[in-house]
Amino acid sequence: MDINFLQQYTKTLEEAVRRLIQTEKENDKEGKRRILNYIASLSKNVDIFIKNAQSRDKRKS
Amino acid sequence: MLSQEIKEKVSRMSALVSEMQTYWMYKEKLERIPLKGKKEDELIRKYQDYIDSLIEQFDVLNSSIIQGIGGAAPLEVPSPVKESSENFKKVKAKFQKEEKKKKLFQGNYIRISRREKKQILSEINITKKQLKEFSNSKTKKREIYNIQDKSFWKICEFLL
Repeated sequence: MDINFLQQYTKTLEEAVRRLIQTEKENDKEGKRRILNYIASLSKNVDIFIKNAQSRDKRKS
Repeated sequence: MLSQEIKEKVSRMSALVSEMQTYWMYKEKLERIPLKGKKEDELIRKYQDYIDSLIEQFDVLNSSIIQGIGGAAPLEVPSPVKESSENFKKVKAKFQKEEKKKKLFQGNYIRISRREKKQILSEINITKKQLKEFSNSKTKKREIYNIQDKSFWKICEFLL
């Protein structure tokens, strides 16, 4: 499992959430929709990454 | 509030990753020892188990974000594309009465002033920026076609 990857991911996620809150303050519905979709796709990718890494680690052990 | 919930989860995830990194470092230091004894091996295993449990917690938080916004996002925030298309239907019905605009809405390229273009855009409730996005995005095109009004896309092309 690559911890640096997860660290990079959480940093990106933090930035995305910061922007999400900004869109909420500005009442920017389109911006909010886009950022939510971005966060969802980002999280899905990491979900796949974690699942793959876990099954690879299991095979190794 | 959705954003606040995500923010809290992300900060917990961030804390988990820092913890993971610390124990990952400890584990690597131990692994670098050339002649390891039973104690070191046991400690390495313990660290690995702890890291795995942190990853599991991270995974749970991450999955809850996907579940939380995956289905809710489109429902909570209505798509402006669909809103515009609804407006478009109304405007189209109204313009059917005017001969020149009727031709335009049938997909014919006719002479039209900038002011008229601007007026149509404001009546459809769509910006030039959005129009450009439609022409660049296949998904948006598909969304529009799903409403089964092909003249919408034609008019977007024309008004650009």
